[in-house]
Order: sequence, then structure tokens, then C-alpha cells
Amino acid sequence: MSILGIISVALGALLSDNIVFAHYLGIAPFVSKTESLKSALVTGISITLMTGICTIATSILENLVLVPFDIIYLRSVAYVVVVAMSVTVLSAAFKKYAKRLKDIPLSLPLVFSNSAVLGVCLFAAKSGYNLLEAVFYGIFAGVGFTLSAMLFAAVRERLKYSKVPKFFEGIPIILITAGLISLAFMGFDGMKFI
Amino acid sequence: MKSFINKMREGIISENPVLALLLGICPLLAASTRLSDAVVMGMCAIVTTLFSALVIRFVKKKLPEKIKLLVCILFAVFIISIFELLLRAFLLPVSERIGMYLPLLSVTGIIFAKSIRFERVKKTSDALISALACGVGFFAVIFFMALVREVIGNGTFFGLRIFPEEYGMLVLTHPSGGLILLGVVIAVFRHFFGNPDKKEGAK
Repeated sequence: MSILGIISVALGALLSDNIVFAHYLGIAPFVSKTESLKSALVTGISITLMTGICTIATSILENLVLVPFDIIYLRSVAYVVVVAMSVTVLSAAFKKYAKRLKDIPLSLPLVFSNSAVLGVCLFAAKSGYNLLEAVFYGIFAGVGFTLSAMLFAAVRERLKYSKVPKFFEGIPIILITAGLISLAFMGFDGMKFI
Repeated sequence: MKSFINKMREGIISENPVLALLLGICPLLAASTRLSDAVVMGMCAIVTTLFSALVIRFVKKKLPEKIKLLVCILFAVFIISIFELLLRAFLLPVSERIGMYLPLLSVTGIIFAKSIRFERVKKTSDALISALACGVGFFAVIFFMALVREVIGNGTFFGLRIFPEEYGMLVLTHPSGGLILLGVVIAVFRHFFGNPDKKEGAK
């Protein structure tokens, strides 16, 4: 468990392995929640929270239950249960104790429905990360989502004032713009961190 | 028979899960770089949607509202796990490429099921037909995307080489090309079949 390994995992999750641009995870909130910088930030924070907590939970499950009892083939079922439970508990807790942060609990069910969290947990398991690496991967994947969502929100401010062909208005131009940003993010592909 | 055709048309065109409702984009883009992956993923989508429709029919009255969605998702994941194991047994290369995205499909598959509101429909057969139409709509889109991405991007058709690799449009095989192509496909779809969220776009 070296520090360099953790740094490479974190930087990879942030840039070259960005969950939106390299793995298509969380496209739904990426498209629907980025009209303004604020909503992009709120969605990003709730996704980061969820990915962080869920990767902790799932990697504990992986190391303490699935591997010792040799039931790896149950992985997806077990992960879905754990992730759904964490989302439910967290949103209930937020509703009760953090009334001032109104925006975050509202976006939690959305977070589950768009597969970003489950996807991050599965990727962490597939890459064979240990607990610490998995936690860093989860948190930095969420931060990477926040980064890309905020970048994209800034682009969309500009898109509002530009002339778009009639049939490209709305979703199509958003997807194409996201594709172009993703093309730019491909530039990070060559960076190999140790 | 006529209502069957109407339902199919509705599911494939006016309520297409991808082009009109924007669901399941993640597995769609992930599995559309090769035709073989796309066919497998489309089949999984059809079967899962059918089964989740059935399950929603069964549990709609017996379960409290809070855990209904959870139970449906669990059942969908259960079906998907069977697919995962079958793929790993018989089609190992495909499983290595898209195995990651199958569980994600189950989460969106149940949302397909929710989104066409089976609970409102009276007869089970009607619900099954809409579910089938929904799955076929997903299959059609993923097959078309994979056709474009594999033939133009890679120069092959189901693995058979059509033209040399150097002439392929490499960007189509990357994630960015998938996003751009999906944008173009949705725009073309809107040109021919109208804009499904016109009312939302107006405000």
C-alpha cells in the first residue's frame, strides 16, 4: 500500500479515467442537472458523498464476505443491495438532521437511479483495489464528476446565447458538446501515473 | 392485433426509451462499439424489461410503496446475474467487455418499466406488450449505433473486415464518438418524428 499507488489511483479517477467521459456513468444528471453552476455543484457534492460512502461499504463487503466465502458470483446482487440501502439511509438521515442543506437529499434518489454510484463501486471491485485505494477511487471519481459537471455548466452558459439548428436544440447539442469535451479529456489518456 | 401493432409502434418510436425518454444511455454507449456486444446487450434489455414488468404486476398491491422499487431492482439484478454467469460460461470475450455494464442495465431496465407506468395498465398482457416494445426500441437503437460505430469506426461487420483498419474513423470507437453520434441520432430522430419534449423546451 504505497502512497504513490494511491496518488495514481486518485489522479486517474479524476482525469484520465473520468467516470463521465471514459465510462459513460452518470450521463443522466450530467445532462439534466447542469443548467447552472450551483445545481452542478450540488449534484456533484451528493454524488461524491454517495460514491465515497458506498465504496467503503462495498469494499468492506467484498473483503470480509464475498472473498472469504467464495461467493464472488453474487457480487452484483450484493452491491445493489448495499448501495440501495446506503442511499435510503443517507437520504433519511439528511432529511432529519440537515434541514438547511435542502438540495442534497432531494437529489439522492436521482443519484441511485442513474447508476453512477453502482458503477463506481463495481469498477473499484473489478480493478482489485484494496480498501484504502477503493475509498480514494470513490471519492476522486465523485470529484471528477463534479469537475466535469462544473466545466460543462460553464459551457452551457455560453450555449444559451448561441444559435443552434432547430433539431439540435436541447438534448442533442448537449450530448455533442459533451462528446467534444470528452475528446479534450482524451488528451489525459497518455498520462500514466507510475 | 391492431392494438399490438399500435403498442409496438408507440414503444419503438414515440416512447422510445433512449431517443425519447433518454434512459439507459450508459449501457447503450458502453456496448455499442461492437455489433456482437450490442446484440447481447439488447437481448438482455428485452428479457429484463419483460421480467421486471411481470414482477411489478405481481408486487404492486402486496408491498408498501417505500420498498417496492427496491424489490423490483433486486429481481432485475437477479435476472441479470443469470445472464452474467451464462455469458461468462459461453461467451467469455463479450463478457469481459460488457460484463461491467450489465448490472447497470438492470437499474435502468427497471426504470424503463417504471417509466411506461405499467401499474396504470389494466391487463397483464398489455403491460407485457409495452414492455416488449420498450425492449425492442432499446435493441433497435443499440443495434443501429453499433452498426455505425463498428462499420465506419473500425471497418468490420460482426468481426469480418470490410475495409482496411487504417481508413476507419477512429473517433467513433472512443467514448467521445459515441456521445457525438448519439446526439446526431437523436437530432435526426426528432427531424422525422417530432420533438418529444417540445412542451418542456418551450418554457
